[in-house]
Amino acid sequence: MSRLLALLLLLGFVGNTAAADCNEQDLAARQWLDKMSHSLQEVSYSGVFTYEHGSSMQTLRIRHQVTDSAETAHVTRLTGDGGSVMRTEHPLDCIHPGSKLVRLGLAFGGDAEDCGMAAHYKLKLGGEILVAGRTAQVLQILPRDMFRYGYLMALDTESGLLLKSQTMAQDGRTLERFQFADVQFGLANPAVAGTEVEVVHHTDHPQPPGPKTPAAAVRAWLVGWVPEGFAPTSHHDNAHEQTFTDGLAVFSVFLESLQGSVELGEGLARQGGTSAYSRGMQIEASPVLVTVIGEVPVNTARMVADSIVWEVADAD
Amino acid sequence: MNERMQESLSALMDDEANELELQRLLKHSDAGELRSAWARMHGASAVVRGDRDAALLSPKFADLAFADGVAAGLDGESDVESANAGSGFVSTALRPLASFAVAASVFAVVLVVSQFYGLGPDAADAVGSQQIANQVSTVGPVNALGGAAMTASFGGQTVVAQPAVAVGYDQIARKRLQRYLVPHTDAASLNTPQGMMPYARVASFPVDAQD
Repeated sequence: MSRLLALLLLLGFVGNTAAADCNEQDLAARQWLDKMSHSLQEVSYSGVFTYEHGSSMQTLRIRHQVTDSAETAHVTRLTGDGGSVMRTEHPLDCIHPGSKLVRLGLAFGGDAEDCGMAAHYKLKLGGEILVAGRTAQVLQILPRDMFRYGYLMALDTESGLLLKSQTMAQDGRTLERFQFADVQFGLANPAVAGTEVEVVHHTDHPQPPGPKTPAAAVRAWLVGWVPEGFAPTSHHDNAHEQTFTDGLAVFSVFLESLQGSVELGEGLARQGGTSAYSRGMQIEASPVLVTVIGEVPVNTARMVADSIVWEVADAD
Repeated sequence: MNERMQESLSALMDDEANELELQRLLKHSDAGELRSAWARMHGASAVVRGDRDAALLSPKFADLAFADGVAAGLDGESDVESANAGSGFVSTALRPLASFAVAASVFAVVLVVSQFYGLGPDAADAVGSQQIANQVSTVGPVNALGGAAMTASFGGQTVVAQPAVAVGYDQIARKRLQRYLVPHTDAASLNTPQGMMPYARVASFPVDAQD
């Protein structure tokens, strides 16, 4: 127990010093992150990139188009079975909690002590490398605790666009790697649209279409604990889903009410940096299946699942 | 936390927890101290394995990768504090990083997932490339689907979940990954600066695994 106490004290100490650290040594790195975040909404580009996880490697094409008021992204898989993902006409003036945590001006919000995501990650600039024939700035992002993954990124020096990214587990393993092979800036050529095979995802904003579960069927519930720095997103369209972000990592919690009884247990499925952790459990004698899915270590998912409680209806 | 709980927790970390222990832990899982202890033990079980993948595929990145942590010569559980203090990802290898899975058998998981969903190599990724690497042959009968099924309701649909043996829950998790990846990505793509990464994850998901 004394060891545990020491750990807690130390963590508390780290929490206090992190704020002091982040403003100075990480500033240049944070400016790059800020630039990367803006490039998402300000740069039109198209290109081919690879996505690797485990022994699998996919080649995909992206077209990302920014008009005066909206951005459209379209990712098509060029290998395997095809398949594509599309986000249409996302309004540019819509800034989500994740962006607020990353962008400098917004993160500070007039409060110089607020480090945004730098309070929970150590940021470090590396050298310059060549990705897809372009000069890229290497940025190393290490978590300050064990509740999130680390990243190694390479950003286009000119635009800030993310050209290469690796998600790294705590033990240094690479969970997934994404890298542009070729990229062109400027408006994407619409002629490439013919390769679409299957649209598996189509999103409007702010209200995504698709089947909705009747909200009445789900009792209100709360996630009692998330790692420090994670905040709920504005994306709550649905009573059985809650999503949290620390600016880089995102996880979603889903709760399904079960009928009858449940055999307690837990299971895990992984794909690249994404884990799905399912737990059959009882909350105050009500059987539920909780699933935490996201780009966080399994223990984070498990601890989040641990903390779910029913919302007390009569509180007010 | 009493000694019994400590032992259960330890067993869970070592994949040796029986169902009773698991239930006892889950029953107490709202206790903050369990969470703290869990955190501590998780830190202790972190493994140094270097960055072999990165070294093979990307020398430049590998050079940079976690150079901080490599210098640290941590020794055993007593150094968990410093490992957690952000100095790095590295602590001593106490045991293989099997700290999570309660799975009874790697073989069974691989086989069942592959057979159940009719997936290609991508299905194997789902249970971890290292597990696949250790696997010599997948030939042989596996009856992991036996036992009574439990019925779970989800919105208008009814899904039949497998009994609460570990393999059953791994299948449930796989199913949920398929079902929830898109709504998760929906939120993730709006809340991370990583651009197309979330889209790539969805687009790379095996098409024949989609519901």
